[in-house]
Amino acid sequence: MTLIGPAPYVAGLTVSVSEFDLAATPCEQRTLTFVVLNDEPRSALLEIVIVDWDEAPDGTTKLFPVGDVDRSCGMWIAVPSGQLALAPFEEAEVTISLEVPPGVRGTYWSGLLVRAAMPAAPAAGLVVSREALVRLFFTVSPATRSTAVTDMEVVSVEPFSASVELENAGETRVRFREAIVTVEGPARAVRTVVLPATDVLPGRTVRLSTSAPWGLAESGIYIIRAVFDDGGETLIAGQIAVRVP
Amino acid sequence: MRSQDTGRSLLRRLLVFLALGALGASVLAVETSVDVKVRWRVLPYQSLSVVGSASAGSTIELALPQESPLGSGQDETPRALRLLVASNVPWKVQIRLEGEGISSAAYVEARQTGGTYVFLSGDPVIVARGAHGVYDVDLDIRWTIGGPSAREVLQRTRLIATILPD
Repeated sequence: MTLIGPAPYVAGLTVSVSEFDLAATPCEQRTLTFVVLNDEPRSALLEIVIVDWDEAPDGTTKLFPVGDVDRSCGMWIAVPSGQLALAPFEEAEVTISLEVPPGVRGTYWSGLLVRAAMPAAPAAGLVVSREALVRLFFTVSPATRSTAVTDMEVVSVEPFSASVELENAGETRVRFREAIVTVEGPARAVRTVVLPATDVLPGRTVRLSTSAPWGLAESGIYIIRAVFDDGGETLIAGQIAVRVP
Repeated sequence: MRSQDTGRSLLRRLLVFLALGALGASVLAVETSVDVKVRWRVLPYQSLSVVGSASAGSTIELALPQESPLGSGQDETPRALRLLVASNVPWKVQIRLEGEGISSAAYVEARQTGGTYVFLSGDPVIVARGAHGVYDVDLDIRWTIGGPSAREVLQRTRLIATILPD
């Protein structure tokens, strides 16, 4: 016997671009476009809201009203007002206009929240909706770059785990695509463990953790180095020494 | 003498022929060494679908627990929601609640099936993340009911799932 239950309801949303990362110049005017798709078999009302956002230490992205985050570019941007009515599986092109103010330098960021309009009628249950955050970064040159490893800590010796703190004191977003921690033991043996790729926004500090299946088994002095590569001309590095009794 | 002239003439012709050949070859070499670079950038796209058992407009509606546990107590809805994610960049899905009075009247917790429950509030929590690809994520919901007004509070509450680059 086959039991057939009620068909599930699907509420879908697709954005063709989830992040714009662009170079800009002061007083520049430009437009950007992306496509929003109503990815479901029913009509949908969508709205686009400009928001600020910032990364919390626990890795979550928190949303704020425009202007609440320093280096917000939310006030540079204009989006179409009103709601976007899309037929089933219909897509629409969204155009953002942008005007960079004079006298700015470095990376500024905000976001566009593309979300389903909430039903006006009271619900019988808990309404669940979906949204997509399109992140916007504009980097205005010239700008300074200044990133450093500000803290390193061995969290566990057996198995080995460590955390590394990176501070971006410059004006531009720095994207580290490769990062490693090397551990040089008393017998000069060197082992390596990979750190996750990360972005560090201007004025922000991030702490990264890594662990290995092996430990610092021998007693003696270990030199532990963290090396970050952002693809530029220089590498960012820091090191500590620990004594294992 | 004549044969010598003829020989020199032939040698000159041969040299001219070789020179022309070398010139032609060099021209061809120049032509074939032209390097055409085509660059393109794949833009990061993201897609999120929420699958549930009921709808409200263009949103999903999650059925509340039955009346009896709403007086007080705890109830759990395994696999209450399904998230379908497609992304060509590392992604995360955060969920948060919008509404007033949620924490005083009722608690809602969520977890990826098999994971650990986290309390939901106005602050977002990450319930799923991954590298690029297509993902199918089941979410369990646990309700802790603090009083008789819980149903009304939950009916005014919105659970928002946000997809964004990680």
